[in-house]
Amino acid sequence: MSVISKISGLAIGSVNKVSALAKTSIAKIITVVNQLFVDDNAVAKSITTGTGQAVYISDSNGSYRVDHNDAFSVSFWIKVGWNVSVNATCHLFASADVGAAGANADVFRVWYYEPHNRIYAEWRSGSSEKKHNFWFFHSNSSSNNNSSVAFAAAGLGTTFWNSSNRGNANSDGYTLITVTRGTTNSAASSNLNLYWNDATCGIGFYASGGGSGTPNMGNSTDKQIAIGSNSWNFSDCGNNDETKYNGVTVWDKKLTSSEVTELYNSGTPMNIENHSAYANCTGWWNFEDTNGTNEISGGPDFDQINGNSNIEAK
Amino acid sequence: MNYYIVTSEVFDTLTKENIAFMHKSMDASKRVVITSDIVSNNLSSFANVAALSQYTVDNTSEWVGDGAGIPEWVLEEIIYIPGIDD
Repeated sequence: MSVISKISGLAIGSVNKVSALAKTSIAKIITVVNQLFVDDNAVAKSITTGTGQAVYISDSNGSYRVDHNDAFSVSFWIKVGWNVSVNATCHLFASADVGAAGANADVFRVWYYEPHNRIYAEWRSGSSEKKHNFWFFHSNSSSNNNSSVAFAAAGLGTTFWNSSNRGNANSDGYTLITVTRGTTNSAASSNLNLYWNDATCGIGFYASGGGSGTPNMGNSTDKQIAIGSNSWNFSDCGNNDETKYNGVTVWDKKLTSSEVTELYNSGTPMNIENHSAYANCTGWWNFEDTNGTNEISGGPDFDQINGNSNIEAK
Repeated sequence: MNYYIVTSEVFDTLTKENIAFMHKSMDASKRVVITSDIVSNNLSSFANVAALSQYTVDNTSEWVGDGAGIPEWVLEEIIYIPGIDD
């Protein structure tokens, strides 16, 4: 059977209408094409410290400047590579002023403290101007603001989080970690929340928020954003094996629990364009290309993926 | 505050409510402890948090698994919770 390989100018000029049935079919095809979403890769952060091994953004266009009173959320899929011998801090996501010398330069960060099995979220503008809270995962108890909630959310049991015990994770070994923050300059549970996959980790250790002073981060300075290390000297990277990150997103709102559930998408990283709060997503990096491209137009790319850090199969 | 390295056996005898920070050595035989109590039967004592941090950097393989020592901010901010962190 022969096929039509081209339509002559005369013939195409004769096509002056498309049937309703054809229109419906075309619309379905367009929908399917729009939903095509490839998620084969992730970024693997080298366990070696320093700029030359870091995964980071050095923003220069002001598109990312989280302030102390901005509503903000950050979310990422993580496949842990460290083992039980790390016995140290592992930074997961961190932002600081470009060129920062230390942790006090308008930092927002999420880190895991392996010796006590805790995830911390913190923002700070000085050594005495900081707000933070933390959740621990190995105490199935009603004490400490009902730590059994975080215990159940993580699914780690009484053993700490590491590459041999990833707790509640998807079939690829990834967990979605999400921190949501409102506009109040406080780390109280009413303003700052942690989710493990789609489950809330409950009230943090400090029900009214921890820290001291009043952080004043300002939003006039561009930020340096790192994955898998801190964002000033790029240390605190774990041990044993590279930790992988995928589907990193930042939002200019405090995501609701239902929006986190939507983001979790039953354990499958989603096309953020299909998320109901897509308009509030200010950064989305799914690491499918070699450039750490930000899928949100105009936003900074994770264009510094250095040394043994690399984008590879998830 | 007072800054020490003690054996795990000595740690077990300390008043936990007075401990601000505790970190186990890699083999769990020793502990870094910051406490308001005076501990005479310590292995080492330090004048301040900077000196203690530097000691863990100089002896990093004994204390942490990523080669970085224990930073000062960790010593100052990671509180110890009796009964949870033992």
